[in-house]
This record gives sequence, structure tokens and C-alpha cells, in this order.
Amino acid sequence: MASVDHTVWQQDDVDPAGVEQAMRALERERFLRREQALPARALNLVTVVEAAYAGEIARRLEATGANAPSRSILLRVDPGRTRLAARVTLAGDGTSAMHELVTFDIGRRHLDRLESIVDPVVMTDVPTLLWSPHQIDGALDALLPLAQTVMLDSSDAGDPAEGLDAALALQERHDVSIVDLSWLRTLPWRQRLASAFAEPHRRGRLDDVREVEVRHQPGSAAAAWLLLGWLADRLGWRPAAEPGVALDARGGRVALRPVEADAGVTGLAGATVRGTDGASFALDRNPGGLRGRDRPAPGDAEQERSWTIMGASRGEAGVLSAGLRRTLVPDDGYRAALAGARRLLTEPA
Amino acid sequence: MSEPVFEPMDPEQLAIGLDQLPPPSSVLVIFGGVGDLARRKLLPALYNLAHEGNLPERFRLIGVSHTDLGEDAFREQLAEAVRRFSRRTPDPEVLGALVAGAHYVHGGFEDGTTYTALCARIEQLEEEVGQPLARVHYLSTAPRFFGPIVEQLGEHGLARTEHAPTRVVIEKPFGTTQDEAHELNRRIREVLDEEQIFRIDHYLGKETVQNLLALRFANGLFEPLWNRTHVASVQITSAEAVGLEGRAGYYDGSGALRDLVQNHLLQVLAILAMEPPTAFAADDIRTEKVKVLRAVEPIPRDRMAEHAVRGRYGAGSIGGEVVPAYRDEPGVPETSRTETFAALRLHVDTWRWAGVPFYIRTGKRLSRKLTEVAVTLQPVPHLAFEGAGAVQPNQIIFTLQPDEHVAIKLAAKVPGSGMHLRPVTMDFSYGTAFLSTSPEAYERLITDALRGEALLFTRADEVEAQWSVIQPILDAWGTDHATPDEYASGSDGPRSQARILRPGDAWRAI
Repeated sequence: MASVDHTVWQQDDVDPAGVEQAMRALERERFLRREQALPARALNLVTVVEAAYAGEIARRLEATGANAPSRSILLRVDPGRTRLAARVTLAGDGTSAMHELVTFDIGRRHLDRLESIVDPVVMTDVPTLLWSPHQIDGALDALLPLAQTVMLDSSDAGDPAEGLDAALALQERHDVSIVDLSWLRTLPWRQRLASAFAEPHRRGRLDDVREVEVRHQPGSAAAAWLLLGWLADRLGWRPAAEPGVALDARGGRVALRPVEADAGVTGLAGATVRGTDGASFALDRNPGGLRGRDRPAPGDAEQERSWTIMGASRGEAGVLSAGLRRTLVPDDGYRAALAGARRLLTEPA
Repeated sequence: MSEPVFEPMDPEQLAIGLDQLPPPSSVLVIFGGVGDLARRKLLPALYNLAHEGNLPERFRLIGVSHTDLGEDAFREQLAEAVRRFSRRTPDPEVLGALVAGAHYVHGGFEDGTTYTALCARIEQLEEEVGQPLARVHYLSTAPRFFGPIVEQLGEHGLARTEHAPTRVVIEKPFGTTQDEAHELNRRIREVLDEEQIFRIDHYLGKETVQNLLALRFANGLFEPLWNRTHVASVQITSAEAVGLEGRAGYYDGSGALRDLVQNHLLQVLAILAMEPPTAFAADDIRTEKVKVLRAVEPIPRDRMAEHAVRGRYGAGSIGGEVVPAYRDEPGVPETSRTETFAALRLHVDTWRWAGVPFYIRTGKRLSRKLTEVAVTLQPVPHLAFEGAGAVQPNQIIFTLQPDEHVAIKLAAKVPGSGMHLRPVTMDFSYGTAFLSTSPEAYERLITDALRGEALLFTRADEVEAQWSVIQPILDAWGTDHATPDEYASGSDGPRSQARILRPGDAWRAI
């Protein structure tokens, strides 16, 4: 395996144009030293974090490994800092993905002028993803003109309605796509539910769903509501006059039940779809993947069956990697699922 | 007022917006389940699909082989193959789940009782899971068994589709001559519909080969130049530094022309030269490729020397190590005349490509591993810079292996007074751009076979068109009693390869 080498430059009290100039010099030096090809680039990631917690975010980004964006610009905000400092690291072996990390140490006083700091080092002509995991006041608004996509986690707010509202408001206020980590945590569940109901012996069972229970880790209710919002959008359900109930296309009641269940992993822990006759299909986290379970209607001669659906947990690094990739392969289901989830949460009324 | 009519809910509604769903519940039967290809490629690919959650909800694997093994021993071999050859360290729990769903049927491929046992085992598995399973039979055996296995599947009702979708994946080589390929197609078509047959060319599963389609048909940059007006010649090179790697038995009966040109490199040529398809769908693309292959002019017997060169490696050194000549490799018969190098000049007789030579070259024990396509453009019609030096024509070079690059060779001014021109290369490593690593070709091909997506598999007429190009060369080489031209291991091939070049053309250095 080719070794990954690093080229580093850093300076205190620097201006952004100087950083951009240093990056070009580093690239030239690397090219002359290794005679490697020009790297192709696909994505900028701009991350704004509180300096005190920057290490945790840096570790999360590092864990994405080969999935790291071509250029990461990490802004570490230390409120009392007055001078701008920068560090540039170029990493890559010339054949695998090339990563450039630009770290700026900034103070509160720089937040109003963030765009002028970041703009010179953002690669033009490739998408820019913006992430503010600590939700530093004003940072997102200041940098939105540079970004086409914003990454957030609607579970961060604690209250699911609040988290989903923040995502909706951002979407409505600005012309940006949203990558919601809570939504991405539902992806394997959506894929498995979609393929399960496409199996010949389950076809038709989507017509008489009477209850959907979504089990989620405490603090991940937003993910559960997004899954319910997705189902409601795809199956044409609308909110009923009763809390926690939707009406299907025929007007039948569908009980929606997000339930806390501690599986030790952020996101969802399980889901059960139950029909009018009481027969159900369930998915739950299980060693080696998910446990699938078909339970027949009471009194039915069929036996209950359960089995393992293979798949390794992606972990939070995998979710973050999926978020980065999502910027390049847009997701056209989120907007509708978000709107659906929000309606189910607030209406009836 | 009449009651409203409700259409049943379409389960596809849930799939909208999702990249790809896992394939439907299936049983994968690997004939030759403990063979070399299965251990090195197929079983590790299955593990990686399982790891990423890309196998069906209910999945069972059955290995079939004449090796006398019990189910536990097969499961242990599966686990060992994954641990040894998987591109990632296996997660014990996922591997455990894969192993638990693996079964073994022992028996000869031409023995009817093997299929009776297989039938019973599949029925038992369906009983266990409580639903019919799609059946994919993967023929990873010696080619002589392809016909008999398909016929036995037919005789035992294992090729029928009324119960559940049934497909057969056939490994390469698909015949060793044109007649054999035609006969094999005839035999398997007596049992299976073309839609059920998935002929493997693992090159098509490579991301880099699929990327040729993207580069050609998703960029306005190349297509205006992609014709005889602007293209002077095309070179397709697939060079290997390795020798036989213990496969003398197979390779000596095959040779470079059958091993790489007949299938992989003609596929690359077809993708390079095809017209834009109307849709990115299996039959649209395969139909366009067949048109190209049928348009390749057969090489007349009396002009073979102007169009084809064969070589065989002698002793030499690779990476500082002395390596033996082909004829001294273990397992190679003394009387062998098998070529380890082949170079061809082909012409695609179409409006777009008339008069443009397509050079194809492949060989073992060459100076390095490299697969590339080089498109040389016509020289500029007039050069205004007097005394500026010779200007070489522009080249567009697509490197497929070992790394993905696009390079464009341009003329540029040497800095300083005066107008001196020199070639420079703008080498663009687009493999560095993308997030995540590419899956192995077999992962993509197995998933597509489980899904029934045929885009990356070759159709009957495509295989036969490929053989139409190659068979006249094999016939000529088979009867002239000449020995292939020797080249030193570690070189760029025999000197005689220059004789097929059109005046003014040159082979690129490997």
C-alpha cells in the first residue's frame, strides 16, 4: 500500500490571501517532489466549531478516512482571539483521494467577516458543504453565500419539533440543499422497509397499515419522525384530527408511535409495521445486521419467523461519510419527508 | 354517488428517491464453489455485499462441487477465503451470519443426482424461509461444464421461471473458438431465454471502464473530436508485469489473444467507438456495442502479418528480479507455441471511424502493469512558428489501471525569448476526486445478477461478434507453425510489433 504523506504550512497573524498563496506553493512543491498528477477535486467542506471542542469534530472528520472531502476548511472559534492564524495540511499519496485541510483560528470579532476569510480558500466550481455542529451564532448566515448545501443534525435540538423547524426554516429562507444526519441514520431502515414491501408475499400489505411503531435511541426522536414523515409522504397519509394518528388514502386510521428504546446507538433501534389483521413486519438492531420478523395475524396457522438481515453498523463515521457523499448525489426525498414529519408532529389541530 | 375506487398501493412508491434497493430474496448457487475464482473473488465479494447491507433480506448460498466436503468444511472454507482475500477486515458477526446461511451440495456437474440433491436443498431452504427465492446459478467452473450444467438445470426444472426469477451467470471464457461460442450459445438458449443469461466480462464491472462511458457521453469536450476527421489513431494497451502465477494449465491453452483481447479489450474498443446510446439501458448500450464489433473489418489471411503480431516472453528481469522464460515456466509444455503477447491493427468500418487504425496490445511480463487508451489527434494543418521545433500531435490518454487518470498532451511554449515549443502533459488524476473507494468488479456484477440488471453483461450476439474478429487471427496463427517472436521479460514487447504500425505511427512506451 502506498504511504500517505503530509505537507504542512502554518503561520500566525496571517491574511487569507497569504494562505491561498501558501497552498499553491505547497502543491507545486509536492508536484515537483513526487511528480504526481494534478489532483481532481470534488467537494469543499467548511466547518465552524468552538475551539474548545474542535478536537472532537476533527476526530469525527478524520474517521471518515477515504471519504474525506477534497478540501476541508476548519474554522476554530476562540472568542477572545484577536489575530488570525492558519495551518495548511496536504495529505494524499497522489493516487488515492487527495485531502487538503485548512485550519483557521479565529476570534469572535472575525465572525462578521467570515465570508472574506473563507472565500479565498474555497475551490470554485465544485460544491461547498457548510457544517456548524456547535451552532455558533451568525456563522451559518455569514457563510451561506459560499455554500450550496448545509449539513445539520435535526436531533441536536433535543425537541424533535424544534429540530425539524430549524431545518425547514433554513430551507425556506435560503436556496440551499440540506444534508440532515438524522435523515441519513434512517437510510438503512428506509432501504430495508422499501425492499421488504416489494417482496411478492408482502405486496398489498401497504394498503392496510394500521400502526407504525418506530423505536429510537433517547435523543433521536427527530430521526423517528423523519421515518414516519417519509412513510406518510410516500404512501399518501395525511394527519388526522387526533394526535399521533394519520389517515391513509381510504381514510383508515394509522397510529404513529415513536417510542424510546435504548440500543446504545444514535438513531433508530427498530420499526414495526402492523396491518388491520394484526399481522406485522418488524426490523430491529441485531448483531451482524438487523433482525427481521414476520408475525402472522392472531389465529393464523402461519408460524412467526425471524432472521438476520446482514449488514455491519456504519457507526457515526459512516453516517458523516454518507453526509459528505450526499452533497454530490442529492437526495430528493428529504424535503418531502421533512414536511411530512412536521405536519404529523403539529397537526391536528 | 359511487364509491371512490382505490388503486392498490404500489410498493415501488417506497423505493422512489432511494439510490438502490437490496436485491429481492434469493439463493445463489455457485458451481465450483470451492474453486480458485470462488475463493479469491466471489466469496469475498459476497462478504463485502453483506457487510454493506447490499445482500437480499433473505439470502442463501449453496456451493456445488465435486470436491467431497461436508457443509461445515465448506463453511470453514468460506470464512477462510473471506478472511484471506476480502478488501476489508471482516466483522465476525456479519461473517458469522453469512456462513450460517451457506450450504453445500457435493456431486459431479454432469451427474443428474447432483441436481436432484440441489433441487431438494433449494426447496428445503424455501420451506425454511417461508417464501420462494429468486435463483441465481453462477457457473464458476471449467468451461467444458457450462453446457452440461445448463442442460442439467433445464432437465431438473431448475431453469424455470414460473416459480421465481431464475438466472444463470456464466464465467469466461465463453468458448475457445467462434464455433464453440456459437454452439454454447445454441445449447444454453435451448434451455434459457436470453434475459436469463448473464455472461461475465469482469472488465465491465470495473468503475474505470464504466467511467469511459461517462467521460464520452457526459462531457462536451471529447465528443466533437471523436471521429476520423480529428482522430488519427487509437491505441489500447493492457500490460501486465506478472507471468503465469501458477495458471500454466489454463493459460497455455488460451494465450493472450483469447485471454484478454477477445473479451476485455474488444469491449473497451466497443465502448470507445460506439455511437451514443439513446438511453443508459442494457439493450441500448449492448446494441450499439454490437454495431461496432460487427463493423470491425476481419483481417484477411494473406495480410495477417501487416495486422497482427504475437510474442512470447523470454527470460529477463522484473523489478530487479530475474524471471524465467515462458517455456521454462512450470507446467508449460516444451512444444508450446502459445503467445503471451498480442498486438493488432484493426479498422472499424463506419462513417465515423473509416481509415482510423485501432491498435490493441496486451502481454505478460512487460515492463509494468498498465491499462490505457490513447487517442492521438490529427496534427495541426499548418504551423506558423518557424523554427519552433517539431510539434507532436495532441493525445488524450485515459489510464484505467493501476490509477485512473486522464492526460492531455499539448504543445506549449518554452519560457524565454524566442518561440520554442515542447510537448507538455496535463495529467489529471480524477480518481483522487471521489469520496469512498470503488467496490470490486465482482461485487457490482453479483449485485446486478441478483437484481436481474444486464447492462454490464455481454449478450449472445456481442460475444459472437467478438469471436468474428478474433477467429481469423487464431486460424492463421494455428496453421502457420511459426513460433511467437521472443521478447525479454521486463521490456515493452517484441520489436516486431512495429511492423503493424501505419507509417508515422508509434507505440507508446509502456
